Amino acid sequence: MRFRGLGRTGLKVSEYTLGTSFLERKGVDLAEAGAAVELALERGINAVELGAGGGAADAVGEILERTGAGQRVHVFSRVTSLVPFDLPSPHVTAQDAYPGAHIRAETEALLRRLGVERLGLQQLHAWCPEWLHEGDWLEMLQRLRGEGKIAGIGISLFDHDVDSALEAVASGAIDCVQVMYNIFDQGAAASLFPLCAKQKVGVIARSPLYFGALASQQQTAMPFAEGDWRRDYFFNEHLRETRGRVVRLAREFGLEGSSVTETGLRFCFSHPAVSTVALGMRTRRQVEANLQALDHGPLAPETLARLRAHRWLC
Amino acid sequence: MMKPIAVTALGSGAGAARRLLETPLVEAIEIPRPSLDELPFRDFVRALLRAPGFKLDFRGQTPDAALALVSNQILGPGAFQQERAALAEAIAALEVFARGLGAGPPPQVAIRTYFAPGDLVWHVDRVSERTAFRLLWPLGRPAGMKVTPADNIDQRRYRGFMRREFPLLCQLDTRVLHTGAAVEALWAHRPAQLAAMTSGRFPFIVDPDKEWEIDPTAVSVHRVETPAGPGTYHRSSWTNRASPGLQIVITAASDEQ
Repeated sequence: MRFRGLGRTGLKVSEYTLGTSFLERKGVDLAEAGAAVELALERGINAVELGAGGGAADAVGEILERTGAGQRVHVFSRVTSLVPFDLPSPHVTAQDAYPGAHIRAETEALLRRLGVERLGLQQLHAWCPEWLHEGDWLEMLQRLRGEGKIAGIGISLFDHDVDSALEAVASGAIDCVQVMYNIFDQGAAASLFPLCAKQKVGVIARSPLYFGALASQQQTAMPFAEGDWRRDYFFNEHLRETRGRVVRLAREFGLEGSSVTETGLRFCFSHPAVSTVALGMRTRRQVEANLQALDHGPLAPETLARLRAHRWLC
Repeated sequence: MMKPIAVTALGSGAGAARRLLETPLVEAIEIPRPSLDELPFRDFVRALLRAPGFKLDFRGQTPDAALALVSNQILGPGAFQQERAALAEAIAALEVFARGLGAGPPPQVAIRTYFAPGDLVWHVDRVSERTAFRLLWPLGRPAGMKVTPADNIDQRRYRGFMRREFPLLCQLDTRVLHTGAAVEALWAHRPAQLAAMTSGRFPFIVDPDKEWEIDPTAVSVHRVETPAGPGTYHRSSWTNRASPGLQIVITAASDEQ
């Protein structure tokens, strides 16, 4: 396992961060999913991402305790917004969504649930640029960092909303940005990544396989199970368009089967500003396959140059 | 199918408009106005429309002061003084009407002449106050705002669609504002999206025929989504992309009931 610096936090994190929202998903084989998490930790992954409000914190805490990995694994969390919203909105103020007292209460509760002394990151999700100058969230997160309860302050950007972080990164207030980044969504590489590198701000690349679209060339009418939110995200024309683009990618690069997935993952690792790539791995087989992609290292510069033509959404 | 647009007059007062908007089956109200050709400030408006697209929030300035600012900058100092005053007076009257829709702070007024392609997608406007209404008066555009009832939206599909499209549409709006480039050129790589924006047929709409259009010359008032209440789903028409008109937008929001 290779490790990279996570911005100014001083943490060295594995090139993969293990997403765990699948542990909360209906219909998942929890025994296999738990075994996959254990295998990932055993193989050296030392960063774990929880969903908002702690997500699968109890299950993760139990695994950390059982495996004794609690001291070396960095858990990244996202604070729950007190105002429910589906989309980023400047009309929701930072103080309404993320008041300092709420951030402290949720962080401390999470430390207890996980059985760890410090979170790797505490992040605000669906970041709005207006929030930088609002509320007491920053003061509280700085205090929690000073108390050693979190290692870093992060913001997590809404899908495709890459430029919303520019001012926050330039301000020096935050330690890490989480952003959607994949072959179809290369927008973060234009301005955000160079700025993060300059400001020594860590980058978590999210959705490296575009919500699984780059992991599958299945031609079934709808590859996502009933209840899976991706059924609505890809409905209906977007699924056809995405498949067409995956097929074109595979054809151009002579990729078959899982090599599309591997190329998608290696694409993300290839950018030097990326600290870690967040990815859910539901089975031990997926863990092994994804680790194999790591072994093959970054893509060649000429491949990366050709992949730029596959930029699509952002 | 009952038309979810009620008609009223400015003279009937804001109270009547508010009562109509509180009726569950009413999504928007229409206040008939003369066409631009019949208005005394038509030449001033047309001169503004010939300039590159812009937007301006009045930010508490009087309509007279705000219009002077934009007119002096775009058309030169002192241009169309009388017509400008007449338009300012008309906007001030609408501001008074909007103030009557609620008991909150003074309404926010903005004008714009650029075409925001995001408006082609069914959406609700949102604010954080308890109640809010938005008044729109388009001058010189060919098609009126379209509305559809909330139950004509498949909410799960709509959430999935907007999760993907909302930030992309915001970026597209910004690029159109800054460059004036054509939507078709900017999104040539997104033919399915472009087709939906052109036709108005979106995957989350239950019945595509269940949409109604406000008269293009009328003032309209619709509900804005707040933490306490739903907003009106509305969209613009592809027909407006080449001539979006001068749009006067007044938002009245209040934390009072």
